[in-house]
Amino acid sequence: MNHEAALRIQAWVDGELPSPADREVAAWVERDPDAAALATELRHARSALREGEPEYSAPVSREFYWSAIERRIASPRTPQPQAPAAPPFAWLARWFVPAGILAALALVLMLPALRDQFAPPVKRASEEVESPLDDISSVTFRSESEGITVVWVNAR
Amino acid sequence: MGIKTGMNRIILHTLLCVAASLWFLAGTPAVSGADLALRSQLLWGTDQEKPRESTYKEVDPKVKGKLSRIFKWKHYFEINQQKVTLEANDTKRLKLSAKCEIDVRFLDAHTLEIKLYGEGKWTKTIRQSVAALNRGELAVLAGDDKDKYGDAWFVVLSADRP
Amino acid sequence: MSGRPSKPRQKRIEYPSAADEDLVRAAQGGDMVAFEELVGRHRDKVYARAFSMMRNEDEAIDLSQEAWVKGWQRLQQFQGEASFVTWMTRVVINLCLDALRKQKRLRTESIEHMDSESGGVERQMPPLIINPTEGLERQEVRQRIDQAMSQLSYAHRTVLILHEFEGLEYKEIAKRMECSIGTIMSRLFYARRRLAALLMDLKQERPT
Repeated sequence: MNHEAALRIQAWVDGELPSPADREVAAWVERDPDAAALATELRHARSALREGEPEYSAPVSREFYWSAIERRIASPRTPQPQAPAAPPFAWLARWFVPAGILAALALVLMLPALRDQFAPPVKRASEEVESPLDDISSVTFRSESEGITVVWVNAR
Repeated sequence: MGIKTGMNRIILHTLLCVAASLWFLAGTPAVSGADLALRSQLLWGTDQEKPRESTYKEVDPKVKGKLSRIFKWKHYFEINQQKVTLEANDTKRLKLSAKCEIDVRFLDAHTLEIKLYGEGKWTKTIRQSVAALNRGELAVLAGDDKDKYGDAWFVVLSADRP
Repeated sequence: MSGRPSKPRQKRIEYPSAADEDLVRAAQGGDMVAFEELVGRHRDKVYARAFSMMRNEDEAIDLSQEAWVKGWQRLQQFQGEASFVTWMTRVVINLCLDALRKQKRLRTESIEHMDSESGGVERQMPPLIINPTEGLERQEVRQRIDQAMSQLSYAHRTVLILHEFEGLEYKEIAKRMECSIGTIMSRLFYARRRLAALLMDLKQERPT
């Protein structure tokens, strides 16, 4: 499975795929054990994080914490809050803004999807890696903790 | 022009020249007399208990530990190891097997360039930070073993230390 | 509204038991005591988000306090579209992202950081189908995740926090982190797989 395919599975797990792509991936995951295994792993990681978000408490007392905030607010160097200026012809906006929103919604619903939802991936620093052969691709990854950079060479 | 204004102008020009020089020097690769001692290893990753050749041996524990925490294979056998010392701007070719060679080039004090040749064909060029190598990091090129499904080959470069 | 803290309004508020909405309304009217109550109530949550991103207590305290100051300055802009604590959390996230970006500018860019920041990273390992946190008590899960998260890079940790803890979509994360959606997807993928591997390591080191 290549990197792009793996990202599609991730997007499907995250509910970020529009239809009919989501149905295609669902069918693929159902028939392909590798795809299903990856989806399972991603789901486990996601649920572990959501259930196990670490809790931290500010390591200073409430009074001490507040006193620093109060001092900063009162500081002459801190810009003081100002009420936002009322927009000109605000009374007009009350009537025309909802109408404008409805018109915009109608426009959006009528237009077909023009653009792929996912932008192409960012280019790597290309001066670092060259691939002179057309039938060879590569993926680079790095483990900070192990202090190891790997360039995995794939023959297409 | 007053003396003070003139002095300020001289100081400013001096500072600008110093800043420009520093900027220029920072961009210029440092010329260093230090050589780079490298170790390159060709490894085979597999779940097989025994290597297919009797000359292959288990890779050293440190490298094995790093690889096994990243990759799935149970065993990593060393097919070949070569050591080389590079001077500044030096290039050396290392033949790691009949099918695998690498050119290592000490580009400048910060950068090592590695060109991989597979079956005589130039396959890949990478550049590795020398500072990272000297900190004990590994640069690895790897891929699927064409001869055995599920196995992999690894070219591992590290700084050679006593 | 004058920035100077004013006396509480005539309507008496029982600050400790007042709802957030009432406290916010009072604070928008200049009631500093109401604002202090909001800070007291939600400081841990705001601090926690700052700490999860910065992994440094002093920086987290500083940034979370700065977030509260900004919250006070911008209180009129809060219209109740989300909960107040969610709004404050977004403020502190933006401050942390700015701080992380500044730190990155100060650091010399090096090859070893490039790959981990680029979009095309992947772990060539088979999927882990065993749930690494199965059978663990919640506190243990939290500790392990904390330990695993501390081993990720800032970029990978941030994308996990924004997606998993803050529930932001890819597009929103890309906008906040000022990079492409593709980069976010790759970072998230790598971060999740790395986290799974780290949790599995912990499971093996410390079986339940």
